[in-house]
Amino acid sequence: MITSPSADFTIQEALNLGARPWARFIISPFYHPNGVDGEGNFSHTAFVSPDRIQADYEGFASGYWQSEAIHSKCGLFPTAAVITWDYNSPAFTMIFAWRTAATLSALNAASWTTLTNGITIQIQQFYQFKLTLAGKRCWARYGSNPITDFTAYAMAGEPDELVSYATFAHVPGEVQTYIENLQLLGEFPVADEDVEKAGTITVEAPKDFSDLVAGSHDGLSLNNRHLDDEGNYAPLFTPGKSSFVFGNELDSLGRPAWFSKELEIQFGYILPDETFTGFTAWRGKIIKWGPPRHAADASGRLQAHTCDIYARDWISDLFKTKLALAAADGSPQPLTAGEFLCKAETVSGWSPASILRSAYFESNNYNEFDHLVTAGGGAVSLITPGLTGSYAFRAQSSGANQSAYGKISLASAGEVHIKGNLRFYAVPETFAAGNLTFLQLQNAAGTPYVSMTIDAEGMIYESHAGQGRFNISAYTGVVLPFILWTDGSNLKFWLNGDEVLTWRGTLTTIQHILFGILTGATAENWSIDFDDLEIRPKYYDGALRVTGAPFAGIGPVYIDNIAQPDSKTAGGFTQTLTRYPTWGMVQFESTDPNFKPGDVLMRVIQDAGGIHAVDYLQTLLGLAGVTDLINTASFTAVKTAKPLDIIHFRKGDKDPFPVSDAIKEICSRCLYWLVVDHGEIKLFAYDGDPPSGPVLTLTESHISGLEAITDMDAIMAYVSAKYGWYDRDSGLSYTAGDINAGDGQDLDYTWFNSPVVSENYEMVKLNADLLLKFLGAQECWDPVSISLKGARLELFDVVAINNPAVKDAVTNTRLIRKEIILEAGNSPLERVSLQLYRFLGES
Amino acid sequence: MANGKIIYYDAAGIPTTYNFEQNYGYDYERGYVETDDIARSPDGTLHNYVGATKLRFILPFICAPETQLTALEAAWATRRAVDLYLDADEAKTITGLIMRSPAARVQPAFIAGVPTYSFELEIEES
Repeated sequence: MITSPSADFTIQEALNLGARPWARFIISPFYHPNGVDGEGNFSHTAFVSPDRIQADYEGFASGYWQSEAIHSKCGLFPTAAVITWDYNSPAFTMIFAWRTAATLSALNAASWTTLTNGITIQIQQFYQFKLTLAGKRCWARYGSNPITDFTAYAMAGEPDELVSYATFAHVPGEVQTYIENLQLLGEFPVADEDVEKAGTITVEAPKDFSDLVAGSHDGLSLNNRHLDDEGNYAPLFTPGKSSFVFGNELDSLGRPAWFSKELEIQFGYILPDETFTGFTAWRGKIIKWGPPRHAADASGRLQAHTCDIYARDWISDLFKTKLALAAADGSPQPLTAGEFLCKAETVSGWSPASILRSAYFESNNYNEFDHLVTAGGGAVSLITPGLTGSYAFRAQSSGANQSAYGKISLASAGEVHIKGNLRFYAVPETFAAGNLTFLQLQNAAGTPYVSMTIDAEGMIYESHAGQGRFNISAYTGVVLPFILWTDGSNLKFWLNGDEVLTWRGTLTTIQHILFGILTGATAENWSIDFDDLEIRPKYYDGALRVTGAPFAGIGPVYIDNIAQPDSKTAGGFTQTLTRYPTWGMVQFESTDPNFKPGDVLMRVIQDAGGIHAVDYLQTLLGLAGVTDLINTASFTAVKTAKPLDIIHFRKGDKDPFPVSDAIKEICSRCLYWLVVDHGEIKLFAYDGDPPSGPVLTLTESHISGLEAITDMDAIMAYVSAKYGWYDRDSGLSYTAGDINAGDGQDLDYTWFNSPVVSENYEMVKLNADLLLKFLGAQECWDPVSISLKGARLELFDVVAINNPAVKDAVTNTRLIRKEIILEAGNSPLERVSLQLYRFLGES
Repeated sequence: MANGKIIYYDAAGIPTTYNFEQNYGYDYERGYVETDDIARSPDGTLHNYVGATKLRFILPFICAPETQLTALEAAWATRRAVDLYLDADEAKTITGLIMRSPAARVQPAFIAGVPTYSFELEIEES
């Protein structure tokens, strides 16, 4: 239960009669008007649109700017704001001051207070700013001695040490004196008299652990019939009207800032002395604004001008924020926590090695090549748009024995892994075998060793490897990603994602790479485009990879479910295993030329030993950007209560997912409830114990109505849990209850089937036993309509019902849903509606 | 839950508390005498945001002892506002007037030879 904010509150709350319940609405953030405009008093200063007050260039020693008196539109005073500004003051001492008062006449009489950047000020109904610029004394050195070589005036203080000796002249290019970006960041309290209907707050916990429910506030109707100081119609709450309170603010993306405003509702009482005492009953984001009404009712009479606001709490943010977004190259980036056993996928073509040389042509020149060669009539050009980006390289031939290529020469000869995009833009009608070379690798001496050519059928052809499994005829004009790799004893070529050439034998090391066209004796018209060329010094052949890298480490690696040692010799062959956790990769190398790993599994390690579910929930909430709203005490309490809940988590192998999905997966397996209440995110663990120690006992004096339902729908006879590597060892299971007695429910903590994994029998048994208790009959008290005494109740508080009309004994229940009706007109005895649960399996 | 009670006051304002010896029946009626909409003064200020609805309780007493009828009749006879507590240990429910003499409509009955009375207590918020 929320602590009573004051002794007066407690007194008012106990009065069912004569108390004056009240709700206050605060919208934030709000930038108070700063008065920087063309109005006001200027002396040697001027307003520069959009928001700068700037000093004149020359001809004065002191000046000032005084804003007009600003009439705040806020509803409650004083209201706090943090004041900040940017300034530049190269030749003046700048004094920035303000004054504020409840009335205009008091404002004019008030004295000025000097402001410091970043302080919090208390704004009254009227306020005003003043900037004073005083001339600064300036002097200059005329010699090399820093002590003595000043102008005589500055040293001697003659003739007048206070006068400025800087010339009053504008030096072109000099920075001017100004103040700008003056901001008063605070909140906008809605005036009490502007709240026509206060609406209803609803906070709710999900009935099931695998669910999340957002709380909401609806029915807030604001008076919108304001007039400005001149008597013109100036509604405060109509978006689009110039008088709209949040009208001119823009957020960092240039959208209207009022698209994302927070609504805080304080609930309390008006005391006999007309002051307010209350607590934060709800916080959330405004989701809908409007409609500002101008409509007639059935009798033809125009209805009052009002504006409705609807808001939802932070849970709705969790549904929207996506995690595990794909990397820039489109590869999935799953989230991994703890340790996770994953199926490794064979790496085909991809190399994580750092790029040695590259050519993207985005600078619209050939400088990324070392040599550009055109001979015999071959031509090169840069085309736009590129295959990706703005530019690409094009080579063209129109006859026999022509050359048109760019050459990249590496610092030394060695292994090369070449990646890029190419396009056969124009091809001849028939192909002369081996006449076209479009990629060539040369050794240090410049001798061609690998030439990628086209044979008479249009198939890719290379002299060592022979005919490749790719025909270019069907791909004219199509952008084809390619990779070419050789390390001196292997040659592989991938085109359009497929490995089309493979050869193993003795080659040489490579230093020069040619991209373009070399034609032979037959005249052929070719036009071939290249883009995004990247050359790496290493390819990890036969490597296997798990996405989501980097990892802290890689644990055991399995081939066909058998853990592999780092090195082993069997049958005369030696197999070695190398781990690359940074890239989530392992590489098997074997002296056996026929070695092929079967199904490879590897245990990637992010947090050695696993991570506590509560810690990871906090991480997830941090990723959703709601860390500030976490009620740390409730999270700590859950962690203390359930120390066994160490989990391993991995999700997002294929697609991004909302934060809420990850939270649901964890909560459903650890039996947690995540809720938002009173503006805070709280966590509760199901403990299986009957509720005790009620914070409030309801009797006939609070209750104005209740209904109790006993629900047998959820009853389950057993909970069957599997965990760890169940696929390999079916003994890793536990069943709570009697599997033959009726329906049951499954709990899954296994590798490959569940994003949340546990290998701890104790943890699995505990949660399965608890879930079975939870899945008994449920007694639901809904609605329990009570007085405003229930406004301070929090979700999962224990509430006792002492009602001889319904039960013989006092019944303890848990609060699952709460509705506070802030609406005027209702009796204070019927302003809170509760939903209370008792899980009958607990007793 | 404790039985209900009323506190009534004599002309000098001295209170007398009577705890219902026999509690009211749980099928009591809770009603409203008037229901005001939100009213607004010309300057736009809400002046009855609190809600000016008047509550009315009609509490039935079934086979209550004679002392109870006598005590409630005495409370009515003061013609002054009484405080009603639906639960004697909890906060006051309303302050109101007893609208009718409890003795005006009574069904007497003997239970095991002891006279008992069934009647209704009607209290309207003042």
